[in-house]
Amino acid sequence: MTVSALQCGRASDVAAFRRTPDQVMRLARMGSAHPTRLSFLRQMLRRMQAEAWRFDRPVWQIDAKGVGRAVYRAIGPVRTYSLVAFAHDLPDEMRSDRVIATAWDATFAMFDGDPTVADLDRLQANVPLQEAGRISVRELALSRANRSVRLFGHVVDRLSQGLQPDPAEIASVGYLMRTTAVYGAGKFGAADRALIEDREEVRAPFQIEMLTVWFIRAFCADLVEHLAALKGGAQAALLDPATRRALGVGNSTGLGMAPFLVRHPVLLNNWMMAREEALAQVRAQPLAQPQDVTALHLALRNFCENAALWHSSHPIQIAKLAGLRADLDRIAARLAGWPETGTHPWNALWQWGETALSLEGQEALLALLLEPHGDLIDGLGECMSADEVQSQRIDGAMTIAALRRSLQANYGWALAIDFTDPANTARFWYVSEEKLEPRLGERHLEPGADLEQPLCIARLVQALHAGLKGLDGAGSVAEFLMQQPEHRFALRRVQIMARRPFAEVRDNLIAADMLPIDLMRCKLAFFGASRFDPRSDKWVRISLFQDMPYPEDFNVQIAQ
Amino acid sequence: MTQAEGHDPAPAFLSRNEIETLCLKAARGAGMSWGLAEEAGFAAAWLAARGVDGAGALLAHLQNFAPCVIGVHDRQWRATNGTALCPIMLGATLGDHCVLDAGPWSAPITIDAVSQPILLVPFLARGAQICAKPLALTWPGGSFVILANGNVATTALTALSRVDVTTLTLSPASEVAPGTAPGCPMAPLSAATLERLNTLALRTTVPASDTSRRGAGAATSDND
Repeated sequence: MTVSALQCGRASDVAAFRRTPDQVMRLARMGSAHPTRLSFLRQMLRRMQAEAWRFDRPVWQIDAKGVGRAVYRAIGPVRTYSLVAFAHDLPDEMRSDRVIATAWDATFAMFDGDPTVADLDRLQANVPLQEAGRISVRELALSRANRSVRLFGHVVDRLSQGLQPDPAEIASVGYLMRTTAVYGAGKFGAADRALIEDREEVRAPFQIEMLTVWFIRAFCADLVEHLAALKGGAQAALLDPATRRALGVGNSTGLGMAPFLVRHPVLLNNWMMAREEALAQVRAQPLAQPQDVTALHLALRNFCENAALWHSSHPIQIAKLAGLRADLDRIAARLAGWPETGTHPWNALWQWGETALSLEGQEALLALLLEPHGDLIDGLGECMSADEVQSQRIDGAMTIAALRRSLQANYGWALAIDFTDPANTARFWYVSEEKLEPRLGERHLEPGADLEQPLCIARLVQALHAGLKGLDGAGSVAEFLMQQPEHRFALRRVQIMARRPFAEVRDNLIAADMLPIDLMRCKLAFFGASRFDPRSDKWVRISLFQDMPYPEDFNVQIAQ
Repeated sequence: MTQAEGHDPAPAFLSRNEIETLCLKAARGAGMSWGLAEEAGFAAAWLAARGVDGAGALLAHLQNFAPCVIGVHDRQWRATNGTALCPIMLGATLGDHCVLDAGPWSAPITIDAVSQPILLVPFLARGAQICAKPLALTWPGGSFVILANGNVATTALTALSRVDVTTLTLSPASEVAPGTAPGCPMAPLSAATLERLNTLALRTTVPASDTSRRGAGAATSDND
């Protein structure tokens, strides 16, 4: 049988290789997610390379103290996007990654097009204030970043002396600045998503935010070289290319991000489904081509290098990292004789992993298996955006009987939770009056549970289920909601889930042992984040774009 | 008054996303269930995107908000306690019924009284789109047709936005003219509307305690 004949049989076989939502949508597994080639920053870089985007820095007005402004431009085939950066002189005592901060080392806005001097002046009056300022429909994102005090100072010092930074220092921190927020569509006056959603280049999720962060990385590298040159004069050095490339952008984030995946069930479904479909398609491959086997080995080597540099001081992550490193050794050993004779070698490898590896290792194996298969799976990236407006509509014609069936089929996991057990209602999500940010309280110890946010979907769905008791199955959802409007929120979820099996996190989000960092890790992995480093069970640092190209690298490729 | 018709010294230009989020929180703060509060955010933002001060209308309604129960008898819809119906509850319910016989796209219905009737329009427009049928809306001071594509003339919206409480008839209509959605800037909020909606929205939040502040951040210093 020829390869093409085997591949023709592929499509009908994929269903057998899919994981179920019950397997995938568990917090512990989501909290072990790794970036893949479908991650949003990888999608952006692929597009920009394929479309030969050009990049430049038309404005650089930074003084000897590192204060001033700069503009970075991305010039695509249809439109131009410009990051406007403001550099500040921030005293150490004002530096905080928390949302309560009021000043930062640098602040940024993504401008839609080419900003004029008047635009820059307007932004200069607002962007440094972040939440306290206003941006306009000409802007697409607002962000800020703080220095890694240790590494930033070290790099400037060394470069100013004509020396390269200590590789051990670079490896231990990994970034010059970490963003502490990247606000996108419609925030603080910025353009609504609806205004730009028909643009091909930003259709995939978070493309504007990824471009913002990628430019911030370039800005940080430029800034240390600039300050080193001012400090060291003629003897100052530039970062050597390998060191420059090893630098990512840090990101520091807390509970503010955690509810996102719960509040955007359609997006969550589409992200997960695309990734799971990619895995299923790879597993369904009847053969492993020699070049794909080589690519897998290369991907494993890169993964191991990254894992070696991945540090955490948090007990949970330390244990998971140890497990991951052991798993990577197991994968390397398993690959020694792989592929064996027989059909579906990728699936054989996957099935071995499901029995031999920890959750960290299994999800790492997923990322590794996708890596050689760009031609097969990259197109799935186009399925990851969502029309959330349409999905909000309730289908009032649904019968109560159909609703009951849907509940049983998709929310069995939720109906099975015993909410009379205090451990299963131990937490509550709320918004703090002080900063209007999500927080997590202890229900049985703290006041405020009467102001709980509707994030524990399982409990709300149980209440809906109870509300249906005794109703005639022939009745309509429209009638039911007229009588019991308090179930509207949960009912909407059930209807969303009826056609989107990966829309819900299938766990109790108010359980005593729930870890918010699991939600954050899953989202951040979809962004493309690596080196997940929890600072508590509610706070995490990560790195973006580490070991990826810089904008100017793309210009060089075009020139060649 | 639902429209900020007087001179506003400092109108607030919010994005659609901001209006939707703010109105959702304010509706919840005023006592709406979460599911209906989401609908309130949808309605206010839909109107704002068509140049109508939906946030102001919602605020006017929320200032005297009490949950209502809808009773239907002989295609007459009214609040069981005799007050004016909540336009969010009524609008959402009418939308839920858009393809059902009890809904206004099948045969005319009358509504005894509804407050801030402009807030019904986003739901009726969505319903018209779903069943692809136009709908006539008639009140003692005027009438207009919501087209099958959900479009409504801006002048019609302006007239209805001046009405605080009214009776209404909704009936299947024939398409009057091909409708196009006029592009217009988002309606700004008056400073007073913004402040009052923010006050209501704050009712959904929990005052900070030392425990909550401590628990939210990193367990380590950020100056490293």
